[in-house]
Amino acid sequence: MRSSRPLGSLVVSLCLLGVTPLGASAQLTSPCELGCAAVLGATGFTAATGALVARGRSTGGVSSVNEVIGIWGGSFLVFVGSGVALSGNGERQERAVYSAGLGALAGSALWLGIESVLPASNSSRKVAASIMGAAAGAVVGGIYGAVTYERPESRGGATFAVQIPF
Amino acid sequence: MRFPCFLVAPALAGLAACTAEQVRYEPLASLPPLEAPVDATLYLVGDGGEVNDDRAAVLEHLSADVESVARHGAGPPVVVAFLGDNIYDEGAPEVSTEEDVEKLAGQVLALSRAPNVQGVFVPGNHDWADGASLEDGREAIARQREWVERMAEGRDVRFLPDDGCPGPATEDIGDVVHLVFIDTEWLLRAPDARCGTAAEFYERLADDLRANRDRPVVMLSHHPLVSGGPHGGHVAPLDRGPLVYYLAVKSGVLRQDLGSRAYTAMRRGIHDAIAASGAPPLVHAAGHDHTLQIIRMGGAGDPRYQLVSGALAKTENAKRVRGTRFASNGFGYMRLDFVGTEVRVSVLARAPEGGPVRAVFACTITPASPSTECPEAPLAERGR
Repeated sequence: MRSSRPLGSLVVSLCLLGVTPLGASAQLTSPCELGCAAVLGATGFTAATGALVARGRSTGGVSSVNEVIGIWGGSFLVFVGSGVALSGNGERQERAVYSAGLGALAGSALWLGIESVLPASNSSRKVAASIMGAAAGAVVGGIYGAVTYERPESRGGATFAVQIPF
Repeated sequence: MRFPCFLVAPALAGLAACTAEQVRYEPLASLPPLEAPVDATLYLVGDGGEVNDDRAAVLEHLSADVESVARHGAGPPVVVAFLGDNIYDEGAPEVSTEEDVEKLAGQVLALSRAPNVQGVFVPGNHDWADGASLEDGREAIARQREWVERMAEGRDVRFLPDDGCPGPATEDIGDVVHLVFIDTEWLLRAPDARCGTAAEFYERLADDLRANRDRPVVMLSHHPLVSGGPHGGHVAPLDRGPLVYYLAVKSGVLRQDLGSRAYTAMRRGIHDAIAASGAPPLVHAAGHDHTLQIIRMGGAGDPRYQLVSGALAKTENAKRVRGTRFASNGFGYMRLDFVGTEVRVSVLARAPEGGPVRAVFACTITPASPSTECPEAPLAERGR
């Protein structure tokens, strides 16, 4: 993820033998821009809140503000930091981030569905299940997206690119 | 990566616009006079551990009200129950300031020295040094008990349950009413070897209710069993802080909210004890949510009414929930007058913006006749 590109710089990517539209567009634009950043922030928020909910529901409940800040803040930093750490490869990062977003949606729906059919369910448990499912889905989706990424050359796509900042 | 502020700002503005609405009722014109002599009066005051002008106004009114009933000993017995969170934020600290002392002293000194007036302080979560360890919390409870005794200066004032254990501690107002005081914060923190198990407590509670089935019973604790206030999960996004707080409340993450696992277990334990006794209490009185609410319960294992009176020094909005008879976000207290076979419940409050303390709601309950209900106050046209 290129978080702060110097003003006045220009990226020129030259693609030769680009065979897939996804591959070509990914190299012609900065991969993780507004939408991607928003998804990373939202999934980071979801994952951190899920960690807090998991902690609260697995114990009697969280009882101090410091505990909330520690659990939520720490989880948010770890999740978003992991996303930022992938910025060495924008295409991979984008794939991981969007996979995390899709995983969050799927996880939330799945856990909510399971919780809804349990006999002892109540509204708090359903909200908790939905948030924890989203968090689990975001983590699994993000890891899956990053691990299953294939470099363009291994797909037979771009063979040459150059970036000229000025 | 540029942060997409243009997406976030409208979303935050939209969320901020959603606030938990306060249900609004038509105000009571005046408190109707009682038709028979009062046998006993119980005042319910809660969450007063902060020094501010609203508390001072309510305490002044309460003090005069108590005096007018007690009539220097010539009146009926009067009990004033302070329902916890008597000292914000962390109870009675080891090294105290003048302000810490004043938080409690203002409440103790509002009580009359008349021989027929008794004050009882019940511990709340903040009195247990909010969020501290069991041992630190218990030390804070012991200190507050000592402070209460020291400040009494000729007043009949107690701290119940007084040992950092759940109780139940009981008091009778003659043959009129049986009071059961419970330290619910202990129950949220159980198990604790020093006080036995929660199951043993629930057994004692069931035994006590069973033994007093022939007269009205009022259970008193800091934590309510049901509430239309924030601790009951009735908050709106960004109502009390960041969105994370809202989600934490809604998912039952915070121990002090009714939806948390510990709180749910406590509610179930009390419910089962009441059901096992076969003698549901007339009223469960509590604070915790900074509101004034009268809620009809009455299911198997429930008290007939939940009264939430936690608005001595702080206020928050209360929503209308199932069984709500009245709810207010004003500063104030409640008063129960036991008259023959009936109990009149009155709510005395001042508006959140200020003004005089006055009666805003009253209804009558007949303990021996569960079918006679406290009717809901008429809803105001706006603010439903």
